[in-house]
Order: sequence, then structure tokens, then C-alpha cells
Amino acid sequence: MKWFLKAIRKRKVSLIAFSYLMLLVVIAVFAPLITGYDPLRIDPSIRLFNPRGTHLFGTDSFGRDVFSRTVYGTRQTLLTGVSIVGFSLFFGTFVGAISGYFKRLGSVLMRIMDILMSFPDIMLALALMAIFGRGLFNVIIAIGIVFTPRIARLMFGLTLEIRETTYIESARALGVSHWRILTHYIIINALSPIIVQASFTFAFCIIAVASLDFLGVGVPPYIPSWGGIVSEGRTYLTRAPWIMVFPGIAIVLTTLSLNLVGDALRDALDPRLRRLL
Amino acid sequence: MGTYIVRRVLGLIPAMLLVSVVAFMFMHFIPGNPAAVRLGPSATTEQIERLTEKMGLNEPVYIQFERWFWQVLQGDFGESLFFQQSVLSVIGSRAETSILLATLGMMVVVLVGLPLGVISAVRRNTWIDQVSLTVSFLGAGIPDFWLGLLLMLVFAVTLGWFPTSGFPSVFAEGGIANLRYLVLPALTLGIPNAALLTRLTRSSMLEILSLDYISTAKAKGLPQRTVILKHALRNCAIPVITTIAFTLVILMAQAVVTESVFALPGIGRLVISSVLRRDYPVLQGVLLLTAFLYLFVNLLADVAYGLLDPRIRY
Repeated sequence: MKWFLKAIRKRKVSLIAFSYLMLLVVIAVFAPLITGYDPLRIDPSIRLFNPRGTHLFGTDSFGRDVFSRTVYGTRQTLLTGVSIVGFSLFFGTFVGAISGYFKRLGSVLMRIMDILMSFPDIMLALALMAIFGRGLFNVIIAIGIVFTPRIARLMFGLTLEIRETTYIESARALGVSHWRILTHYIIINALSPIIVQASFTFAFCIIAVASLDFLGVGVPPYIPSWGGIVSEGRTYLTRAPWIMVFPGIAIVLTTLSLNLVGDALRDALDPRLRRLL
Repeated sequence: MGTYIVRRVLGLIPAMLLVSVVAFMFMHFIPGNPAAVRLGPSATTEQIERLTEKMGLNEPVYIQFERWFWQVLQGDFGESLFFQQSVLSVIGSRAETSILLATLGMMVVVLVGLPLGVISAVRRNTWIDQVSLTVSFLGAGIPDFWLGLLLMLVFAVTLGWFPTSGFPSVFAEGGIANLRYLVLPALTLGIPNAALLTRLTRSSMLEILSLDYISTAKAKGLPQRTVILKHALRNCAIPVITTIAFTLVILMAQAVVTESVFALPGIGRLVISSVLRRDYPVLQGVLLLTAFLYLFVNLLADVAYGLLDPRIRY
């Protein structure tokens, strides 16, 4: 944790990026207090209002307040993002560590990961969504499956590197069990590069989720999402460009911030492990 | 070299087989009986049973896989549930748009990304470098669908330089000039990937420019052009070529989003509508073809390494 904060504080730009991300968390938690409007309330009398005092980001074709939809979209973005990163981190780290540690089993597991990686991200996500159908939970599983092999690949490399160190050898000589070596020696030591990768993965996830929502195969339309708002806005591109502009800016700022934080953390990393990222 | 290529090509076979298994299983995980889906909701139980029997869906999975795999090898990807035509002809009728779009997108990537990367490395820490780094950082963070809409808003709606959407074939009226419909989509597809290539080219060039033989070449009094283009650029060809090769696959996949933004009649939009229509054979076909393309590109990249760098032998 100390390492984390030190790395962030080093540069002003990464500190700003980190503060922005923290702000997003606050917005997501206190969404109802921040917005004066229900994001789902339809009011045809205020259709397609341009941005003004009462409606900061304007209103959409149903008269819904775009500001409160964007604010509530933060919830969906962070919820899906954190869950996907958690999913792929959990399974990816596990698969990668086991594959790197037990070589024979590893060659089979990593082969499966390679096959999953030979399907392009968006294609695999779409195929999985076709099987699962639309839904918040299904999006998390589908994109989680897409990103798991990437984390596994990284963890595999890290494990190969770490298992050759002398402290692993001494642990083995002392009779420490394989399981304990995996969890207490290898995974612990691989944690910092994995965290760095997680921030980049988070950024990718946000774009992937927003793309699915934009294409109309992600979360159901009654959940406000950034990709979904942009998608609704494209029909009114000429008459009401603000509908797609604001949630788009939110996406860009968020992915940039995550990348900046990731860069700052990577620079603070042990150079021997940085090479693998 | 010959045996190396042969070995790599033979290595492709198990990979293709495994990828096919995944794509085949994908069809099996789908809820519901394919026979029932094909016949529609009004079919009787008896009709469904008869078609199930006819399609061989009662047989063990491995026999079904074997039959399906032989058909795929002969280019038969089954029949679309929606179009009542073979999957291959459905995909083929949309190939023109996708191939042209990918080619133009690739031109954007290579013509923008590569020179920008080289220039920023050579003129390190100057304003050109700063600008190109910032732009490439932004480019990597912008979601393509949003970039596409912004380009459409500025260059098509406001300025009116390009058409907003659609693409009539280049064989239709208008001929080659119809390519103007693909300019904005190609930029949408190309810019984020050009950004990635810029960053990669810059970092590999910087690594090589700091090596001793570059100093030697400069000390010999060779013109800077020769040093950069012949001595440096050639030696960072491997990572750059890998990235460019895989960009091709990425472009084919990302076209799903771009074609949807600009309403282009390509394979990408076919994928989306197939997801929505639950037209699984088409999805399976596209999935399989893109994975084969990936494996093939992987092979080409490996062979290219072998040709470029005689030290590489796996």
C-alpha cells in the first residue's frame, strides 16, 4: 500500500488521475444525492433540451436528464469494471501460477489460454454474449473470460521467473508444501506487477463494456450505462450532440486516468519484473 | 529455413483443430435445440424430432464434431438460420466492405504510426515528440465508437466533407470514388491502432539508437538518413512487424464497432445482427475464420522473423 501511494505521488499528473478515480467512486456511491433527477424518469415536455442550469448535460429524446444518467452510469461502469478485473485477476492468477509451478499441467492449461487468445477480444465477447444473453452479470462473466488469459499469461511468466529464485529453493528444502509456496511465496511476490496490469486491464474493461452497451448487446437498456447513453445519442447526433458527448468524455477521462495510474505504478516496479509487462 | 517453415506450418494443424473444438463447443453450449430454432416456434414436436434425427444431433458429440470438422475443411460452414443460404456466401457477400475497410485502416496505421514513431524517437524530447506522445496517449484511451461519432459529427455533419454513413460497392455506380464513404471509418479504425504503433516504434527505436554501432555509424560520417533508415529502423523491424501483423486481425475484429457506427454493410455488422437474431452458424463461421486468420498471421510473423533475423530458430 505504501509503495502504491508513493508511486502515485511522484508525478502531479498521476496524482490528478488518481484523485479523479477516487472522485468517481464518491459519485458512484452518492449518486442519488448528487443528481436532482431520476435517471429513468421520462418527461416528453422537456425533450432534447440543450445543456443549461437545470439540466447540466441537457436532456435526451425521452426528456431524461443526461447528467443524472451519466452519474448513474458511473455506478454501472465501476461495478462491472471492478467485478471483471476481480474475476480475471482471480482466475488468471490462479491458472498462471499453477501452470508456471507444475510444468506438465501448465503446458495443457496455457495451451487452453492460448486458444482463447486466438479469438479477438470483441469477437469472443460477442460470441459469449450470444450464448449468455444480455444482462449485467453476463457481461461480467463474458468479458472476465476474455481477459483471464492475459492475466494468466503474465502470471505464468512471473511464476517461471520467481520459482528459480533461491528463496523458493530454500522454502522447498525446508519442506514447505507446494500449496503454501504457491500462495505465500509466489503469488505474494508477483502481486505488484499483477496490480499494475490490473489498472491497464480496468481501462480495457471499461472500453469493452461500453462497446457492448453501445452495440446493444451489453447490459439491458433500463440500466443507465455510458456506452448505452452514447448509443441512444447517435440517433440525435445532429439535433442533440450533447447526449453522446458527455458520457464519451467520462469514458475517455476514466480510461486515461487508469492508464496514467498504471504507468506511474509500472515505473515504480522492480525492473526485472517490469520487463514482463 | 525450408524445414523451419515446414515445421511451423505443421504446427498450425493442432492449433486449428483446437480452435475448431472451441468453436464447435460454442454451438453446443447454446441453449435450445438447433433443430427447433431452425423450424421456428410453430413447429410440432414430431417435426423437430425428425429434423434432429436428420441433422444428426442425436449422435455422440465426437461423431458430430468429426462430421462438422470435415465439412469445415471442405469450406462448408453450414447454413445461416436467417438467410437460408450457406454461411460462406453470407460472409462472402459482405467481404468487400470489410476487406477495403481493413486495407484503408491499415494504411492509416502504417502511414501515421510508423513515421510518427521514428520521428519522435529521433527528435526525442522536442515538441514533436511531446505532441506525438500526447496524441498517442489520447488515441489509446478513446473508445472507437465515440471517436467515430465525433469524426462523423465534425467532418460529415458539420463540414460536410464526407458522407455520414453507408457504403455502395466500388463496383456500383460511382466506382472508385465510393471509397470516400470509407475515409472516416478507416480513420476511426486506424487512429487508436496508429497510436499504439507510434508508442511501440518510438520505444524500440530509442533502444536501438542508444547502441554502440549507431554511434560508430554516425562517427564514420554517414548521413543521418542512412543511419536512421538503414541501421536503426531495420533492426527494430521485428517488434514493429509483429505489431503490424496483429493489427490486421485487430482491425478485422474492431470493424464490428466501426461498421456499426457508420452503418457499413460489412462482416462486422453481420456479426452484431447475428448475435441479435441468434443466427449461430454465421457467428460460428466468423469466429472460426477470424481465429484461423489470427493463427495464419502468427505463422507469417514467425516466418518473417526467420527471414529477417537468421539467428532465430525455434
